[in-house]
Amino acid sequence: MSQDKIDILQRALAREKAARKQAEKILEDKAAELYEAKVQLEKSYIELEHLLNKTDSQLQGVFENIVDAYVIIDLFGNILKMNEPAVSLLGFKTVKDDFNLMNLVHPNELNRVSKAFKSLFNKGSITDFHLKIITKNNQHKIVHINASVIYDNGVPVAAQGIVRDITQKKADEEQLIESENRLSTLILNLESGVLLEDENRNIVLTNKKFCEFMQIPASPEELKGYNYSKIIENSKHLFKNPNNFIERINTLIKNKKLVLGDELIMADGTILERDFIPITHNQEYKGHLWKYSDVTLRRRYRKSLEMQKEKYHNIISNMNLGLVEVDANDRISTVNQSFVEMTGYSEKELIGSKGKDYLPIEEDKPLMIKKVAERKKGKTDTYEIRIKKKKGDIGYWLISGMPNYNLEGELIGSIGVNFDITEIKNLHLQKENLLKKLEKSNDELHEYAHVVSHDLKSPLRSINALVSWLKDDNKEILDESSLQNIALIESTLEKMEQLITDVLEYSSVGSEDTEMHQVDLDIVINDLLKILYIPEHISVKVLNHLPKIQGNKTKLQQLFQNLISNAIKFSDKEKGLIEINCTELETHFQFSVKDNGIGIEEQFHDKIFKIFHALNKSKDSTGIGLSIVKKIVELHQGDIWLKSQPGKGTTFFFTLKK
Amino acid sequence: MKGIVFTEFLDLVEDKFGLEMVDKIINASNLKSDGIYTAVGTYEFSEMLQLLQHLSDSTNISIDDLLLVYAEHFFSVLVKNYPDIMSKYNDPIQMLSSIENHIHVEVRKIYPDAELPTFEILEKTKDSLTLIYKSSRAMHHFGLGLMNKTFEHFNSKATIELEKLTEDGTQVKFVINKN
Repeated sequence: MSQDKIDILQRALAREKAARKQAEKILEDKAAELYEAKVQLEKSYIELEHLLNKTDSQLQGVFENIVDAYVIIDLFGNILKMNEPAVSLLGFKTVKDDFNLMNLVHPNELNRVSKAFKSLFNKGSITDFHLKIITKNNQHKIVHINASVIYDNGVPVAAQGIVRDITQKKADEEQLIESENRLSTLILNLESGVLLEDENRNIVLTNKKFCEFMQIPASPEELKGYNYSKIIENSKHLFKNPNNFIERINTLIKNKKLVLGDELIMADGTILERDFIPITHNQEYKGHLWKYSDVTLRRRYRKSLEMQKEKYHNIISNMNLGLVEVDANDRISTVNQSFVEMTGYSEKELIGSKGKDYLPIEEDKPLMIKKVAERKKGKTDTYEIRIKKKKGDIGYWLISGMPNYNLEGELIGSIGVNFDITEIKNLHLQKENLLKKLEKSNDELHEYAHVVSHDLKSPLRSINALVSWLKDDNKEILDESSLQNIALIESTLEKMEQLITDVLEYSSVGSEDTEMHQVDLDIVINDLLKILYIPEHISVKVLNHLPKIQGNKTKLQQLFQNLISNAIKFSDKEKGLIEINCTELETHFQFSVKDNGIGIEEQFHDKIFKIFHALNKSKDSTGIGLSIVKKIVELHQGDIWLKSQPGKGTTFFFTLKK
Repeated sequence: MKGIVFTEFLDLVEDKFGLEMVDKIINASNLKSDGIYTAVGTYEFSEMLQLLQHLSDSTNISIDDLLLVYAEHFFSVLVKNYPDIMSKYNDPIQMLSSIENHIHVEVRKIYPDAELPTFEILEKTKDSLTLIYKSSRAMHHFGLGLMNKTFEHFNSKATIELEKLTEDGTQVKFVINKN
């Protein structure tokens, strides 16, 4: 082998060795690296295992301590695992209970549940599923479920879920909705018009009354979302001052300040009161609420109340009655002008003082004190008292006192209405004096009439005797004409005596014996007809049975006697007829005396009852008879009148109290 | 460049031209590794260029032809060492069009620092394939050799035309038509 070849081989061999060493080193390094990696891996593995255990026990803890019910089921709904909250929610006894969840589902929900199950396995999870269940211990609940599928190597093996009891929440929600409904119904039907606008003046809420006030031809529901600044233009003409209405609204919205009780007068006279309430949330402007109320009636009522008050105030101030109010301590709190005038004290002097101590006179103080005490027991009455005025003169007062209560019904004092009766009292005294005087002079008059008639009669009789003697003594001397004159003197004297007798009689009608007894008029008439002179050609008939009445027998006899005598006296027919009749009225008897005599002309119907009015100047007519008749009828509380036709006859009617 | 490319290259040189030629080209080259290569090591590409240049100088065979021969040899190394990859294919066109997306992906798993050429597919039919080879190494004939062997491996034949898109051969278009 040539040296060349040997060198080449040696070089090749050296390269091969070096390459082997290089490869060995590389492999050695790689092995070391691998070992290192392996150690690192083992360490990581142990750490991971720890971590896994830790997480596992954490999860277990979470599973056990989770507040919400947590359930794991197999693909058929059988419970594999659950926690304590699940046991109590679903009504089991222990976590070990073996049960199929599907049996808890409310029968009406089965369809939904089977769909939800399909969706769960297709999508891998289901959230926000609401379900009605009947728990193991028979309670109806609404639950909320979030569930997901558990996979093993991509194959679904079970499902886990968190179940929440939202029964109460549902009930609360329903209650909330219900109360919201109630509230909105309330707002809708409110007596006030309500408008809620957002910050851009779009309508959020309004009600019927508002639409009515603004005469908007739409329902509150339809208005929602509309911009009110446009609608308002159609309503402004309803207001007395349309431009002010719009301007004021714009100002209020601009200022964003609470304004209550704005008064708006509408064109038809209605008065609206408006409240503006801005609404802010977290200091951000969110809109505003308008409230309109019809206060027309209230305003009018207030106005009329004020007028009434004014009216009564005026009456009280100006009436002649003294008004005084005292407090619970008897101190005067209010007086009116009349009271001031009645006492003579000024208002300043009266207010705050105890009137009962100085107003009554000394003798009447006990009465006043007694009445004040009664007032405190709630008694109301009226009494008379004497008052000493400031100047010292005495006045008579009629006091009406009543207790005064406040709105709570507590006694706060009393009110006195005082009437000054001094004048009346004086008049009364005067009248009494007058009556006494009158009585006395009446008696004197009677005596006088008696005396006069008696004293007048005796000279008359003397004259009559003297004339008679004169005539008898000179029978032969006296001529025809003288005898005639003497006869005239005699008849005149006779008439004079009759006149005096009648006057005496008249004056005695009102005075003498006016005692009333039961009188039988049948008897009276019978007696009367026996003693009366009745000429042959006149017949008197009593048509009826006459009643018994309460009266004076003598005067009743006189009454009938006068009327019958008159009828006889003024009879001018060949056959005179007088009829007496009686009818019964409610409280009276009505009598009539009818004749067929000369009659009386109507113009004299009133006159004939007046004294000394004789229509016929006959010797036996003094003109006093009918005056006496009238007086007797009036004594028996009756009335008298007549009907007559001149030449045909007269009927006198009169009534007598039963 | 992976050590196996060097060891297989020197084995082929020794086989074809004798140990003297191996010794000669190593000595003629200025090598950082002193010509000591192991399959599991990694060496600079410039060393391969020097070795190829000196072999070409010594044998009067062009570098392209040398690479073609070397590639045909190297294919058998691949078949021997990586039967799994080969067995995944039953058609040469399929396999060639998968270089970029499959084979090179697998290579990177084993040799993360490997410097690989890219093959861009311009057109592909059942019996034809047009590729653009891009690599700073300009070893297109190494690729051509591997392609020839691929068809051979699947008992098939093809006409492969080569068109340099750049002077230095860093971009080359391959037009492959199955016969």
